[in-house]
Amino acid sequence: MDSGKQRRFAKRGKGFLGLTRADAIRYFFGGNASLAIFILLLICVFLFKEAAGFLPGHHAGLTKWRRSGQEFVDILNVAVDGHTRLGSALNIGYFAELNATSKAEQQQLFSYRAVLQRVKGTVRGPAGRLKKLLKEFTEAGEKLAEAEQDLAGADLDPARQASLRAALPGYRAVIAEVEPRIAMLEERIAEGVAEALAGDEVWEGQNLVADDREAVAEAICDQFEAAEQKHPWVAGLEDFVREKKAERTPQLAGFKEAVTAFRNAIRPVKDLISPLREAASELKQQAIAAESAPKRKAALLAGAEATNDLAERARKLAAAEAVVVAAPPYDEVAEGFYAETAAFEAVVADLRKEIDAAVEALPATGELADPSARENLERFRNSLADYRESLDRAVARAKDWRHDEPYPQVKSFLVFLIGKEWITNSSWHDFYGLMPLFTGSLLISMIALVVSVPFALGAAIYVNQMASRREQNLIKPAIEFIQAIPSVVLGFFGIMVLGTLLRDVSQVSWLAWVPGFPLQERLNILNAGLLLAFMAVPTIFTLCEDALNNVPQAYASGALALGATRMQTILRIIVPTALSGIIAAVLLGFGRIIGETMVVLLVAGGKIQIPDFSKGIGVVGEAAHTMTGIIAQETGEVDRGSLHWRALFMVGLVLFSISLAVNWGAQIILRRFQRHGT
Amino acid sequence: MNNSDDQKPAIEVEDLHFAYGEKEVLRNINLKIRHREVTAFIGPSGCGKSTLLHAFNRLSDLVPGARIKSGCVRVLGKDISEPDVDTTQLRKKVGMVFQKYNPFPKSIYENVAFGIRVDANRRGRSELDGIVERSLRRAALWDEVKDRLDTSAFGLSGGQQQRLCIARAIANGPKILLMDEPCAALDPLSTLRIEQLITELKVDYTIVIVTHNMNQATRVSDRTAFLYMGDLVEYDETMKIFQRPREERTRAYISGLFS
Repeated sequence: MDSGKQRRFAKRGKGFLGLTRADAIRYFFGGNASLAIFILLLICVFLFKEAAGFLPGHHAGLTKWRRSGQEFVDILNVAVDGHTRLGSALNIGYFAELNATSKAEQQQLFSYRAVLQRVKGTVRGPAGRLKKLLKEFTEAGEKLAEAEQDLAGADLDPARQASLRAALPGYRAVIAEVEPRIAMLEERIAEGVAEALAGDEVWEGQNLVADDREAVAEAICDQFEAAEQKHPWVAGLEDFVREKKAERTPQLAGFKEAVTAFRNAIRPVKDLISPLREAASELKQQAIAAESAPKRKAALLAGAEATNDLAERARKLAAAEAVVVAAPPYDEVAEGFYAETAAFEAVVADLRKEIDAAVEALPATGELADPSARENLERFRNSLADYRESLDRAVARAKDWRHDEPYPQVKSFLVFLIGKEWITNSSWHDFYGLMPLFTGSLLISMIALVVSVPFALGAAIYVNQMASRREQNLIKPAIEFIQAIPSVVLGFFGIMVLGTLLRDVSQVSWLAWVPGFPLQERLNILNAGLLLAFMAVPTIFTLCEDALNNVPQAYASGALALGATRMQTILRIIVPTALSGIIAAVLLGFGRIIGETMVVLLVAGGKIQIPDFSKGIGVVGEAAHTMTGIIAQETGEVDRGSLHWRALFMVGLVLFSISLAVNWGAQIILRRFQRHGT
Repeated sequence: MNNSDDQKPAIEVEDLHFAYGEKEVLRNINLKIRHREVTAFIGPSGCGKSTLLHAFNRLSDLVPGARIKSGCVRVLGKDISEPDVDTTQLRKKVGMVFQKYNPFPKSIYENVAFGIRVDANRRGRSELDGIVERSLRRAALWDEVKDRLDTSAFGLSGGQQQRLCIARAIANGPKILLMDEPCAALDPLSTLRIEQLITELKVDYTIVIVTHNMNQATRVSDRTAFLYMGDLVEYDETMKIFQRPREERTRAYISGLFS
């Protein structure tokens, strides 16, 4: 009797692996949690391991770059690069000035040609058929005329006469058949042209006033009717432009001479560098070959060992024998470089003199008629001092350069972190500098934040404090729905719609004062930033709304009871109280933006270069690339385990750190908020 | 405050019917509250005493659907039941202290100065300093906080925070102070302090206090109104209410037969 009673209080359900059911469920849930943590750890370990491999590889690469003399060549090349930039500014300035007196006409001609091209595209089918028919028509006509002429000449043998006569109706029939079809096609083309000209599509991107547009349309219509003959309006424009240019050229001869003198001044420097470049390149190839030589040799020997074919074995052994494991002649080649430093100094001194002379001969900025010419010349003059300084530095660095000086570890890390160039798959040297990607990511994120925060915060304040329940039920789900849009769809929208829209808006003449307008690129930082702002709105909105919602009602009633208006209560009590929550919302929004990949990959323009900040805010019109985008784009094409592959992991690690820091910051601020709020 | 003002009651309620949506919570209330007296509203939970209090400064507007069905409330001689009343002006004249002390998450100084800062007429820093000091002195808090005016109000004890809320209301220069169970969240010592303060303040202000605590009503108030289920059952001098109530329901309530 006792045992039955005791069992009643014993734990029941010892089934699976001797666990009670409650325990089994407990371990299952616990297991889920620990699996998530385990996978996270695994990812971290993997990321760190692969990224850590980058540093020694990168250092070895930079060491090779130095020892082979590529570094030396790059130092000298600074003189050439800066000169090229200056020269192109001068060139643009010169041509702008040359065209200054016929600018409008050139613009019209340009528009005319562009529209004509597009119109031609719309009637390509019928035009092609017309061409064929016309050929048939003329051929038949020619043959007919020939036959008639032959027949008119009396002395023909009768057989020939008969055959000619027999052929005549055939030609006539062809002509009779083809003629109406030609007329019909011509009519159709004329209709098609008129239709295309009436539409907006062919005019897209052309800034024409109504009169010009009419003239262009008329000229195009006439051109099609008069079978490829130039309309007098067009011919007149062309003559005018030619005349003006001819008139202008002697006036600007001095300018042109100065520009040419400036651009030619760099020749000796280039001539000096080019053999050095080849030598360095070759030496680097040798170094790479020497590095892999032992491996190749071992592979050949192993292959010879494995094969049974005697001839094959002999061939492989010979090949193994031929592999040279000798160290590349670093010192020898370096001697050659050292010997050139004095020559470099001398050509740079000459270059300076010639540049000074050329600058002397340039017209003063005030004398120029064209604003673009003035701007370019101004830019040229402003950059000149920097260029001169860079020449000094190049000479000094060339003198100091030593090929056998070990490359500092810290410096190789800095080259990654703040390097200005990300150049991969290059025949010269691969540079892995984070800066272009980092600035791209940062700029795009900043634009996204600047745009999205006011919108999201405003919407949150409205929904939380002012909206009726019905409005709340409409606005909140609508904004949260944005999150459901796949980012690739947004990217597609950015390419197809927003890019074109932005560019067209930027070309409106009365918006020209906006910095960066008109936009040169359709895919640019602004476009990507705007789309990301749209994507960040739900995150920031929802979190801001939560923060506002967490402000105790007692503060609001307290403020209202003191005679504050609704608006004063919101702006002076509720928003400041929720401020830390709002800041956390913005930070989390930033984390969302900087980690976003698809949109920036599609829309940012994919140009791996530090954007040109000299335009101020206008920098947003530039194309850029981002840290996330580069990983997505280049992962597919790199060799597993290569330095490039590891560099991408490093970029991933930097992104990871940024996200971690942002989230951490948000957590700290939120925690303070929670302590404060209750 | 001149004499002609004093002739009229500070607050006058006539045939007031008040409803939340369709539900009538106050019926046929008639009441005159005199200047510079302490009037206590007592009654069981849900009897409508807080609703009546909130009708005096129109803070009842915050509750969706709350409305005056009929009758009127006159505060300082003006009918405030019209929808177009300037509530900000009204609330400056009629200060309010809440059940749970609710200083803003700002410094002590800014809490007191808030009412002035949101006022349309801007005042200079020195004038503001003067008002803040006077208000804090009036609320018997100055000596305790004068050295830490710039620190957060949350660093004060509960009783101090409630007195800060009183100082905050005083700074607006009101005529009337509404107190909605001001001691409900406080310990006995702090309660005593607030009660003393109320006695001091009635020299200058008309005070209406809602309380659950019968002893408190006898200690601080001159007149007492007993509300029950939305009706004003009895309204008379406090001594009379508690010693010789006319109504049976009043007698039952004050003797603790129900609460």
